[in-house]
Amino acid sequence: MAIYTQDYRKWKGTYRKRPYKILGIIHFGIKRVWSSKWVKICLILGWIPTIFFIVLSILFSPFITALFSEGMNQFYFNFLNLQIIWTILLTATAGSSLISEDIENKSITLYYSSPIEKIDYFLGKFGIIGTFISLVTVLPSTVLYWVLNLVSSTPVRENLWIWGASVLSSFLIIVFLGILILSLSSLTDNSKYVGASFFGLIFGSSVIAGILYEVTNNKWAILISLLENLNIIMEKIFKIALERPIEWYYSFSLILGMTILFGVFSYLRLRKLELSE
Amino acid sequence: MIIGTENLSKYYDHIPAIKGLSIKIEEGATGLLGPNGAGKSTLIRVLLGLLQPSSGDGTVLNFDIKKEGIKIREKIGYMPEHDCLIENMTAVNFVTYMGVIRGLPKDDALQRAHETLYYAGIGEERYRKIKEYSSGMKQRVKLAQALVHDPEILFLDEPTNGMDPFGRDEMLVIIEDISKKGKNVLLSSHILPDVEEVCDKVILINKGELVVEGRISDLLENKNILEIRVKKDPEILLKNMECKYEIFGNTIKIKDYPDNIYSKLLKNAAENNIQIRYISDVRNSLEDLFVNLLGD
Repeated sequence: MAIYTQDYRKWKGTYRKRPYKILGIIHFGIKRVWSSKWVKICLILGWIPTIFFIVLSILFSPFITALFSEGMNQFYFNFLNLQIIWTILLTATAGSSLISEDIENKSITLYYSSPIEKIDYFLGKFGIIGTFISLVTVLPSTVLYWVLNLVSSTPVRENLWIWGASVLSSFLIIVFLGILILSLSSLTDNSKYVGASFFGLIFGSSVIAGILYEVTNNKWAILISLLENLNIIMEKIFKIALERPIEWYYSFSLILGMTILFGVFSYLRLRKLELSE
Repeated sequence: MIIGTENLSKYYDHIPAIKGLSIKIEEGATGLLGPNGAGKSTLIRVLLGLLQPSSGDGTVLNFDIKKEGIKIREKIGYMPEHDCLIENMTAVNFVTYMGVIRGLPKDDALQRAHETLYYAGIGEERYRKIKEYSSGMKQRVKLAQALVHDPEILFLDEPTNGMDPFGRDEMLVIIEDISKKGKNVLLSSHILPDVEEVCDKVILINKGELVVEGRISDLLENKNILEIRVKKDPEILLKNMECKYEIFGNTIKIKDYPDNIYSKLLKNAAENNIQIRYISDVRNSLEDLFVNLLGD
């Protein structure tokens, strides 16, 4: 056993590369976010539907037939739509403080004076929120898909694309909501404001779109709703044939444009933060 | 030379923060001095590779500040002036985390966190959350995080801020010890006696320009001041004497005085019946140098 004295010791070793440091930000970030009871509650809520479907399918085999009555793709589309509610809650609780807390503590200086780039910091933070969102999107839809396949003995090869569609849709949700919450989180040092503005943007845009559509009957009003745009893209991914007044690529372009815009905004904001420290 | 700049300038929207700064910092402990807004923080950020200079060049440990920011930051430990700690973490977790994002393997980072915290004077308290710490303890954690990846250069910005006199002394002893153990220290502080105690070289900048640089002993040499306090008529005491002096009430400060000044003063005092109450050769301090070079 080493005998320690209060003396300075040199370190002999080789510094790890950038990906390891990004993983370090993710690892420590996940541990910190995990300590929040609200995050745990959101995760538990997010897994209730999955557990419910799995348990009932195992106990009552006709239940699966009922689930798939409108087609497997429709079921998994509906399932992910349901998951979006928990995803929004989880994104707000887990993501609000990711950057705002660093602004409040002024610890952003320490990140920037470390051998990482600003983009590494952002990727690390994105990795944290991405991991949590995937816990209520990719993971449950994957678990559900494979368990239901096993229970129902459905031929996997024919329906494998549905799992791919679930993963792709989850990826879309992760990227959009993740970047949105991070850009909001970079705006202020108060995470409560971040959460409130996130809910405001998500639900407020749907309310405004609904009202405008009712009043003007203009089909383009739908584009204002962030959730509706995500829905339209997911319908396309899951090959759901619905009569929509606007084509999916308008929604896709809008979501893609906003994601890029929020990403660029976050980067500029992070640059400005360093200068103003 | 560990740090060097050549005609380095940095402008913020045409407002100069650094103007044509050419400095050379050798190994050891160097003080970076300057009034508020002198450009010290900007210089540190440019040296860290965080800000691109508007013009000029610079190297830190032979790495180009324009292109090799990451390599530079690997070799530098930075202790900012302001609070920067993640309050909800324990000190040991926080310093470990800082070690990991600076490239240390996790186990090594944990071991280094314990060692550096202990070295900085944080004992069993390292398992407590930082928000429960006093400002002096926070300063120690800031020092520990700067040391965790065993950097070659330490940038210390006001390291004794908010510390009580005992804590301040301990901090200075630690910084001196680090310097003796081969770490290069760049100490930026408003507390000039701190700089004088720890550093052997100093760089003074003002309005983004270099005012003076060199060894403290050289800068303070031949600049001794003779301080005299008299009961009355201080000007009469200096009659027929050729030297630079300043009078503050009944106190006279004579700069660059000749060797035979004592005999002349005593002669004048005797002839004019002036009572000399105090006479002493006051060693010039960094504070005097600072005031002399920058004016008021």
